Amino acid sequence: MGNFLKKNWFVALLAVIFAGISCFYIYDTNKGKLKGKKADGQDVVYSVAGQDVTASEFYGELYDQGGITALANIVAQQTAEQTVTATDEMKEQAKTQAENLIASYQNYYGSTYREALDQAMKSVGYTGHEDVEKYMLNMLKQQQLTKDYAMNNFDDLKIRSISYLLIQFDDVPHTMEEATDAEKARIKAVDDAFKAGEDFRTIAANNSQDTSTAPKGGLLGTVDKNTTGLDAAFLEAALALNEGEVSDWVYSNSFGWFRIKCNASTKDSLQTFADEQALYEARAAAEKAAAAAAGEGKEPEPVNDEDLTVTPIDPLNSLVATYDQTLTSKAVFEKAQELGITYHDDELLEGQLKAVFGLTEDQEG
Amino acid sequence: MKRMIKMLAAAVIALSAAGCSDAVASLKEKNDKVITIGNHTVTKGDLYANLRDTYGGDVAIDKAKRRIASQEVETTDEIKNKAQEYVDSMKKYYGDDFESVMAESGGSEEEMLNTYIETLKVEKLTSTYIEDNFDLVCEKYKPVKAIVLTFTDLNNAAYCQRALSTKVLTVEEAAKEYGAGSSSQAQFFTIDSTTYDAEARSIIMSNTPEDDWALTSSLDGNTHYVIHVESNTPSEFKDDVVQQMTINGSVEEDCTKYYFANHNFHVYDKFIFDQIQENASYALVQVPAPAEETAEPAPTEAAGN
Repeated sequence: MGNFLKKNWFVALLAVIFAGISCFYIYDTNKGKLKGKKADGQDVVYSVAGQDVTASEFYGELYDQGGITALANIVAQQTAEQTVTATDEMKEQAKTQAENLIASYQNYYGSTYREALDQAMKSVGYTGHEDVEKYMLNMLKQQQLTKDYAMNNFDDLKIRSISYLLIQFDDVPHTMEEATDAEKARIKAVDDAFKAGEDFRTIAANNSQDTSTAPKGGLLGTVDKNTTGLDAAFLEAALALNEGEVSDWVYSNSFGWFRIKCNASTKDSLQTFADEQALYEARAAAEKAAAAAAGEGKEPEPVNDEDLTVTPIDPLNSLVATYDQTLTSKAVFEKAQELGITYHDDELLEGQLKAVFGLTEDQEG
Repeated sequence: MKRMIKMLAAAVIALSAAGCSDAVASLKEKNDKVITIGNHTVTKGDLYANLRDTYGGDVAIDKAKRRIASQEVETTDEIKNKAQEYVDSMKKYYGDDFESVMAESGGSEEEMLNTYIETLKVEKLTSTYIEDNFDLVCEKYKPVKAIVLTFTDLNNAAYCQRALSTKVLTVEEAAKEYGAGSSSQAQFFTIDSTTYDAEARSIIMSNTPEDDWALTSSLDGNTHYVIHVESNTPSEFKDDVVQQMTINGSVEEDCTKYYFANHNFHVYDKFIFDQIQENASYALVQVPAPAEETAEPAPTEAAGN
């Protein structure tokens, strides 16, 4: 060995220098790295107060915080992904919605919008901001699943397209048991219009004191037997109506007097009515614009149907998004059961998932 | 020679690989299945990564505080009674469904009680910190009690200030006489208080009880203040200091930092570390601290690894 070193001292010197540089490189590379720890053969996530919290224990802590909700999200996403084929229209819609969401995040968060989007996407089971379009598409698939469920259970759900007009109380809060003279006069004007044969839309547009629905000829949207957030007397009267029927005056303690119309109560007529309504709204908007262009007291230009810009109405959108928000849970869970759900090694998981989906024993779909 | 060269080459490869990445805690049972929907199976590793990335940092901090509180805060009868009241209110709220709600969540009444006791003890931790470090907290936040009367009319403010300086009227009488828009009671202020204009705050933090009633106006000239510092000796109003500072966000951060340092809170997982650094960097007290991140990409890993 000694002779070898004597003969090759330069090589040995280079080797020593190289070893020194390598050691320094390892030290320098690793000095800023986070070091791990093991306890009883398991990786430790954090330690405090003399206690090591292993990954297994941390999993339990994380699961207690929101594990069931996360699983429910996964069930919904996977069910939609595996059972609904995305149409070109859905893909286009998802792309537009994603662009809009990103733009709103950019507006609100500025240069840190990507981090904020990352966090938002992770909270719903995706990896980061690149998944926004994927997320939007999955939401549209879940919406389609829900609409299919609604149509398949149309009669059981008592789905109705409803319009109404409102004669409001003069005094709020309402203290008088009898209608005032002014209220009676407004009620009579509506009764007279019905007797004269005017159609519901026109009467609602001209007389209803609900300013959000009057411009649409009184259209509320699509409701069903599970609808919440509406006056109880109103909903009960609406669900009792069949297609084309108009209720008598329905008294509400909170609002006043309603006349309610059932626009559609069958699967076939629901979209037919929605198409008519879209045309009505386009025509009303065009007539309003023409009157404004003509000026006060002057005859406006006539409106031609061929020139109208008609925005199609999907009659189930209002039901799914607003008036029965329990539908998506039921639709997803029913479809997931059709797909097949296996709960591995946890007797409680099924019940816990149903609780998150808001399903009782008789609501499993 | 050749052997030496081979050894050197092996050493180079080994040493290159020895530039390790940051530690990530791996779940031992990551391949255990949780649920299968159709053709998709979710493992514990999948779920662990999902939950860790969503709120792992927050859970680590919350659980660490609970562990610390269990050692620092005594379980008093008051805490036990308050927790029992909470459980009783939950039983009343759920009625006959209480048992099934507990069963569905996989918990029990006793667990609910113990969890709420922990919560109350964490809440007590900040007040305990303030009491134990009273002088330090006061030195940093400089609590003061001062009377601040506000006026929209400068003349009224001036008359009020004169009446109080000459002791012609009491504070309550002067406030009423000249239509002050604020309470005549002394209010609590610290160096990071944002109530009132900068001009008013400057007088509150610099004057002493020996100084006369001061008159000043807001920068926009719309509000006028008549101010007197009642006490700038925190020990004279210690209960107020503890009560008010307990709900001060900055003090809560100081408290977390203090107890985390004293109880050696240390993170061994890069994902959790990064989350805490992003959202609650005051909670990272470990030594040595990893170097600041440059433009390195986030560590990639298989699920649960």
